[in-house]
Amino acid sequence: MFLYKGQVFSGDFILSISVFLLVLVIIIPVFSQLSDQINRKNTQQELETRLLFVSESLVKTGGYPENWNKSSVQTLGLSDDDRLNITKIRLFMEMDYNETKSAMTLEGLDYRLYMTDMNGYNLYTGLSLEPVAYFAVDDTIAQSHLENSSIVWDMYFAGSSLPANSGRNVYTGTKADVFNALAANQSKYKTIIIEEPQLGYDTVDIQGIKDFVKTGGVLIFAGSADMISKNFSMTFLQASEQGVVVGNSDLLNASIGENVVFNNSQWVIANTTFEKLNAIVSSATNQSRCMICSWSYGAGKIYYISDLAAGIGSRNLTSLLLLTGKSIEKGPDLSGQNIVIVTNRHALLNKFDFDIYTAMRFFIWV
Amino acid sequence: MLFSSRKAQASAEFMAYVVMLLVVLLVAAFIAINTTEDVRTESANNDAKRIAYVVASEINMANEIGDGYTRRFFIPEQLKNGENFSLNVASQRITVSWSNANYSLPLTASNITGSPIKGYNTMKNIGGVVVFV
Repeated sequence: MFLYKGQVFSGDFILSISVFLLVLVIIIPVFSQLSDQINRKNTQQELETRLLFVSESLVKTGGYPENWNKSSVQTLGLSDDDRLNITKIRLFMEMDYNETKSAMTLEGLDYRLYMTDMNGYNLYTGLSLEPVAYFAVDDTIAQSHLENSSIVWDMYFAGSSLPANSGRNVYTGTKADVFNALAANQSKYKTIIIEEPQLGYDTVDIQGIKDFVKTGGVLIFAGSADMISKNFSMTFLQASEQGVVVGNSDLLNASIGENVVFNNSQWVIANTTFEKLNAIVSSATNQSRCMICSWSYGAGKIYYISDLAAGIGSRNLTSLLLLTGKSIEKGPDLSGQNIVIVTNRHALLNKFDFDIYTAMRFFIWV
Repeated sequence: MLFSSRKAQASAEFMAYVVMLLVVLLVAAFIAINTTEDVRTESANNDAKRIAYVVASEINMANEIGDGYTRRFFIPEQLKNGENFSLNVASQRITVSWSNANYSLPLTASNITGSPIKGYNTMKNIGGVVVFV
């Protein structure tokens, strides 16, 4: 009896199976890679479209409901009257990150958002625009605002002992010399803070400061107003009075009617007829005298604060002032992400009655 | 006796061959069915999102153009895979819901009267208000 060789498991059959498996091994990874690329492309397109709608809504609308707060917001919008609203931006910054995602219909995604001016400088929720120049002699109460933020600032110090500081550049010397250096450099800054300069207007280059404000700068002046008692459209006099909050302002986080306690006599603005004077804190006994106020000067603005060491209730005045605030940015770092979609939106930001042309960069990723 | 041995051997080998092919077929069918299901789901997702984009774009356009704008557009009755879906416009966003999923987009129009429906929709901007007629 003979056993014949099998007809199935012949050499031909084994060869054909091998070729089939080889082709399969090549095709499957290629197909998989192609599929991944298509999925990636689809995801990218979807993110781009989603970002377009979200950024449009954020920049062009005021959100829902119209006067939303952190607990009532359903759809986020940061605009009012065709301008980004700084109050809404502050609320947005205070919200929980995941809640903002939900309010922007970005569930399942991550985002990062930040705002700059057209020169690339970060924008902040407080009054100051960077870069800031800060002039101080012995009192450095305002310095804490600069130290507690990431704002770019230079220190001009004319006191006896230079305090530790994080100023980008530091200038020291006599009062007049340091102040004049600041006045000479004024074009480099967007905001100048002067605290108790102990200088008269006729002992320094006041024209530099005038030019600074006239061309759109923000001057924040605190303390004895001898230096600005002339040349800045206001009448100052010395008084010893207590104050009361009389106006809403983005500068001071206090309610109308709250008493402001000044421990020392102070300078006040005594203009009674200058209609553009925005009084924030006035004398409790004579409302024509203003202790914290602002007014426009040329294209810029001046804020006068009679005494930074004042108190409101149990709180220090300085803790309620929004001199710098926080950098307008939100969201985690996006480094290492694979698919990131970015858009640049340009919009006007109304901050403290200034219209600032801003660039908002908005990143989203899976 | 010689010939019957030959038949049995050929039959066993044939059965082995058939079994092997059936196994390959089963594996291929399993992969195909899973892939088809994924494609159906993905198709439904994409279609629902497309509907959201279209309706949101129409509403935003009406809001942008302003008073006097009129537009007629169509929303399908079902998704492309035959699934049902629903549309809701509220709180300045549009939400499309289907199966166990939903998809929302924010709108730039805050004043909207009426709602979009499946089928033909006529939409107008009357004095700044987007109205579904």
